[in-house]
Amino acid sequence: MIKAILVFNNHGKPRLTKFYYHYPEDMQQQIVRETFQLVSKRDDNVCNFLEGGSLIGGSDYKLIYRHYATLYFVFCVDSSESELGILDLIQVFVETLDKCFENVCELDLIFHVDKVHYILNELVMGGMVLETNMTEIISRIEDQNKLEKQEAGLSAAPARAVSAVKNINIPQQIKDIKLPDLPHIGSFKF
Amino acid sequence: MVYEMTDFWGKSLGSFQSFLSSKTGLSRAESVASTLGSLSCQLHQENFIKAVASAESKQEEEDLVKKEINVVENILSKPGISPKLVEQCLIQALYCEMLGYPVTFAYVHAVKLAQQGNIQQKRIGYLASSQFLSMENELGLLLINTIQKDIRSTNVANICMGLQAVSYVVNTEMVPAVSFMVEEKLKHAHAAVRKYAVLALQHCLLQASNHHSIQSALLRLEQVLSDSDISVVAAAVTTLETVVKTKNVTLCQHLIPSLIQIQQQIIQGRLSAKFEFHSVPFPWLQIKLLRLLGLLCAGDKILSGSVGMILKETLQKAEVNQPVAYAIILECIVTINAIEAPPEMVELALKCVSKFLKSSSTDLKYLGVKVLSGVLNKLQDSFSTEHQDIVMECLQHPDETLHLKTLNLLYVICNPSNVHTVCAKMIDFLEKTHDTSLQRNLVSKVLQLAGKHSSDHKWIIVTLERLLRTTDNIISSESICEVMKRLKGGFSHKTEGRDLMLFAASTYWNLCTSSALSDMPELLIQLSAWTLAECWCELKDVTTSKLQEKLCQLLQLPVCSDETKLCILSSLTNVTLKCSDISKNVPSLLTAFLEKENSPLIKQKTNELLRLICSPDIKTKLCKLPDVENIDSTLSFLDEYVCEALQRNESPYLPWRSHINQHTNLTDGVNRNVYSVFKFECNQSSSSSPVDSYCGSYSVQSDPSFHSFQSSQDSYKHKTSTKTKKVWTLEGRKKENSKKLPSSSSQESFPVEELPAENLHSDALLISSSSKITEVVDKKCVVEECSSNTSELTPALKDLHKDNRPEHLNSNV
Repeated sequence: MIKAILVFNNHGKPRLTKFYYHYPEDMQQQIVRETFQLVSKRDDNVCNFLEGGSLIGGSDYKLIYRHYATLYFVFCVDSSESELGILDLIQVFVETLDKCFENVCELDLIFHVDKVHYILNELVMGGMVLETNMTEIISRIEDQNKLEKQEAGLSAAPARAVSAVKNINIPQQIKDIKLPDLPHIGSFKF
Repeated sequence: MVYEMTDFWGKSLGSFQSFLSSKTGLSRAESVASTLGSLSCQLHQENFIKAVASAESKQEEEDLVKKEINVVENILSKPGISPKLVEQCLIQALYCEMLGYPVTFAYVHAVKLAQQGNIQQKRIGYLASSQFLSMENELGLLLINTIQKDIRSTNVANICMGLQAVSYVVNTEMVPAVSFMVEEKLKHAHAAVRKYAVLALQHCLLQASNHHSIQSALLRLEQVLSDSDISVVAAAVTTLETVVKTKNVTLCQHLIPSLIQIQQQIIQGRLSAKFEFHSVPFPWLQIKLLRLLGLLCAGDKILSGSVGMILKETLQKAEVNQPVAYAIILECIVTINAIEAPPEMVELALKCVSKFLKSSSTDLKYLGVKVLSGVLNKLQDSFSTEHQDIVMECLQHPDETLHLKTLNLLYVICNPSNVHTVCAKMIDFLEKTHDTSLQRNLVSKVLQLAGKHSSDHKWIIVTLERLLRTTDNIISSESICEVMKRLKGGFSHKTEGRDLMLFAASTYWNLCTSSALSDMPELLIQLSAWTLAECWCELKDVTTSKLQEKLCQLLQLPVCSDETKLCILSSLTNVTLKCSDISKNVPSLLTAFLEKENSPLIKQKTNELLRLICSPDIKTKLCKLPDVENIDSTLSFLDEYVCEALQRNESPYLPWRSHINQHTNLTDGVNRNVYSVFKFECNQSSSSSPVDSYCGSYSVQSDPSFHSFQSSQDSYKHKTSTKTKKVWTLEGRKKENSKKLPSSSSQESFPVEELPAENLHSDALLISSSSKITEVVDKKCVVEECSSNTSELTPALKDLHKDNRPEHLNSNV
């Protein structure tokens, strides 16, 4: 079972925290801090698995992490999960994010926290791995987005219309209007 | 013309808007306001996030976030706000909570939004609920209704959201409300719904305590195993694994053939190409299947035989050079470890593990070491040299995690021949690491190994010293007691005992005379004091007086806690009793020590020791005392005296407990401060008066070792239930105080060591067999500090007169 999924940057600022086991608020922050301390000390040539630390779950848990550019993706799992499997799961997660956000970077995680959560919810549910196939996940997300747009369709129309109109630059459009060429009539000779 | 065009655009825009807004029923102003509102809200959000990200200090960030939280709280507290606004507020709240600033006011709004609102808002509501709520939170109850409605709706998205919500909000009481609905959805047409339903069902099974529901749910799960969509099957396998682990293995053993079949289908490539991950077909499901098979077949030879074939096939197919394939191979090895595999399978596993160990990737090395211990357990023969080399190499690796894993492996394969090296390696690691939980773990491992495998006491002494120097505050005094016991056993050995005693004595003497005395860890001091008191006579050049002075010096060390001081004092007592010459400096040193001390217990013991030193006749009398077995713990030889006292109308003795129960006022002259010494004993759980317990513990200990100490404690505790028969005889003892000899202990049985109080209060040492003198003298001390009048201790209790028995039992004087 996965106990928690944490994403934080190189300075320890949390970008996404999802706990599948309830911890009180201050303990959650402590866990993030402790995990950051443990993970940031690691070199690049050591293994991606960590044990130790005293906070989550006692002795039955381990941290499996991957470092991508400025972000650490850390999965806290217990002994029932396969380490290499989880490593690949992190890979799937990041690839999915990449597909959905187009060259995902930290800013995407910051400004679209809800979307990232939706993607994560397709991957892991209740601490158990739900889906591992990237195309499946993406198609589900797209279905959901379509549904939202449909339902929001009518009531969002004024908003869309206003923003559409705002985007119309009327004088420019007028300048750009290409009137069709009148057919060439030969010179008139009365 | 241009103006006509713009006019045209303007008019059409206006009519377009009013057209749309009239369609949706919103008034024009409202719609514009709301859209502008949401746009500005978004902008505000972005600004807020940017501001927080660029905050210079923690304080600045805190101020910003707290301000924002106030704003959000204000907005949410207004009645009748639009769901759109609630949505925006919730997103802000989510962000703030993630940064660590609680937003409890927003929880209710999350639940409400999940109830109402369109799909998008529902999603946000559910998302916020999943982050804010938990199974223990009562707001979950509010959400249940919504969940039920959503699961029953016809809209697939709603069903999915409801099912997902089950996994984070439903606790044991709520399970009956939703489980039936969830099970229904197992047959839904949409594969995603079935998938969610399976995992929601798993959550319900984990929470449910009712066995019947588990049975019916399992039946449904089995049907799901033959689902057409492999993702749903995967979810079912995950659920089965959890069920098997937490409930009963036998419930699912009949599923083994179907599981084998599924695995076969996967590795034969029958799945569609979209399930391939880096050219390995559905690796995660393979891993799960193997794991489940391992769980189901563990310990059963016949079942294990049935999975042998599929394991071999899987291993063969997984020869691809992909990281994910390694995961599968590893899982096969784990399964082989778990089941009763035939030897050739274990050999195969060992070959694979060697490949892992030799790889250059640290991850694979780590995993290789992890499974190696399991494989080696299966193989009857020992660790081959090839593996030994690799494993030793892992110990040199800079990665701490790998290092630790290797140490775990060594712990598992430790046997008497290599215990010394293994422990040495572990202590090496201990000296380098700073993580206290790791240290604790390793220390206990070292002690276990030393206890189990090693019979070389000298090595134990040396290793223990090293260990204590590294991790003094982690080792418990219990372990030290065990070590003392072992050493004592070693000392009494016929041939090697003296040799060991000499070694121990010289080691600890050297330690005590070294210049780095102030650096000595406390437990080491205790150990040294005890050992020296046992064996100093083996050392030729150390006279008793030198030893005594040294022990006094140890007493003065600032690092000593009360426990250590008591230990040293009893060692001193021991030495004093054993031999006759006493250094002249000792009494003065002790007196000086006494003045500085505050703890009554320590003062007590020091006083007692001083008295022993100053009055050699006590010592001789002690030496002449008869055997312990003949004690009359009620001191019947004092009966006559007590009778006389009672006839003089002096008050009989009242047990301590009655003191507490009665609110005796201070006017009876009792010096209450004195009783603070004994307060601890009243706090002890089932204890009655300390005096009662003294009576109890006078039953007899002749063996001073750890276990008997333990049993004396037990007897002490048990004695509390029986009311003391002859309470009043102790009163006489009080009168006869210091001139009276202790009623027990012969020379031989005089316990030599004062074992440091393990988990008991150090005060409980009072009751130990080793300090019978103390008990008497304690009373004496108490009595001296108040006046020596018996009446003050005992408000009248007339019925005790009834116990006025003049019998003389087999008294010993």
